[in-house]
Amino acid sequence: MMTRAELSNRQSREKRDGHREFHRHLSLNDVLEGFLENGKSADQGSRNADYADMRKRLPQSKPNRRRRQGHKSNADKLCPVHLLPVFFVLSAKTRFVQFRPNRSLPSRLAVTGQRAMTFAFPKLIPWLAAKPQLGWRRILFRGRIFLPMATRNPTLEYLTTTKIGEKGQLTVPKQFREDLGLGNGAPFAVLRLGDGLILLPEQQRFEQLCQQVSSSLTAAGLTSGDLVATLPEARNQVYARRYGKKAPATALRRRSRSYRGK
Amino acid sequence: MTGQRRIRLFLDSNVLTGGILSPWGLDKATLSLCAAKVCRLVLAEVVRDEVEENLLLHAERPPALDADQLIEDYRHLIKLTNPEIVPYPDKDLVRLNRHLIRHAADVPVLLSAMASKPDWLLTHNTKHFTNAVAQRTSVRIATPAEFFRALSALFR
Repeated sequence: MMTRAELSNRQSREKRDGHREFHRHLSLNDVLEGFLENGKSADQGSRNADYADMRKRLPQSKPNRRRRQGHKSNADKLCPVHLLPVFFVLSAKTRFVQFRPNRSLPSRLAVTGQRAMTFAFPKLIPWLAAKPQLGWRRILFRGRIFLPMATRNPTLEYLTTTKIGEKGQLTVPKQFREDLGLGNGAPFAVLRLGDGLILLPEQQRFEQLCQQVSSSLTAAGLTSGDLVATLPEARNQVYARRYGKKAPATALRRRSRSYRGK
Repeated sequence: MTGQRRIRLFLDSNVLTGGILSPWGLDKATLSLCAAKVCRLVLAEVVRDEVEENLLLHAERPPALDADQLIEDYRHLIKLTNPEIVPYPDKDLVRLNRHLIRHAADVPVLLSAMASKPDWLLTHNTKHFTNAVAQRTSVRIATPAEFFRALSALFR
């Protein structure tokens, strides 16, 4: 049984002995000052994680090689490049689609979601940031959904996973909606590529113009096929006008016939 | 490669026309990728003028369309895709490279593609733009379907 020895103020409840004495607490000013100091922990209670001295728990490992083997570094001193194969092996589902430099990648990853990776490889991200020549840009997670950014500086971001709702509805992460200015009812083009989907927010003005061109031709009874059929004729005309030669006669005859047949 | 590097797609007139007029399909998907700045549209002046010429061909035929409005809309939507414009090849260059492809009218298009060095030349006209032409010119020629098949292979 513990004696009525003076206890530290931070000892936890089960260590009390009911001495019924007022604990000593510092004044507010002293506490605030204390935040700026790296003071020693008063307690060593094993159940309180913040008491643990990390340097004692994880001592510096001693070199396990002779001097002439100095080029063979210890595991805890691996360069991030050495970690890359490990990364590939551990995340079998992760593939790099394209290697491109993107200096903003680390900050974006840190902000928008690759937290697990940042946590697992804290040195890797800053190191890659300092090496834009490596061109490390895109990470593809198989089966996930990507939203190509319609910005001047195209980026590829991976925020988080999302789920399909009961009626096939998909929730686009709020950050992406805000970045791209997507409100309710914003139209998307959905493009399937292998096991992946690409969601392309439609460029409204662009779509509107396509629609205008298309509808004016449709109103005149013309289809996309009709226009494609006469393209060779148009090509010959442009060629003749620009290069001052007659368009090949055989081609013209054939295409004219096909147009009349429509 | 630079930080701004995107897949550069040189579209032939048939893909461009299909992309503008079709409500869906791979032509539309191709053009949508360019409009969303996912890919970079490489547009030869000869192709741009050819599509315009083709629209005018139909606009002049009865029932008459508002040709001015049609062309204005077309030019505007091309501008929205912010294409990389490839100028007409020189007359001499066209004459010297006549042997590259069977049809003379395709030579300026092919030369424009060679000059711009796109990642892909997308066309439906595989009778003219054959594998032999692709090998001769070192231009990667494919249909939109082949292009998307190659893209999807990355996701498998």
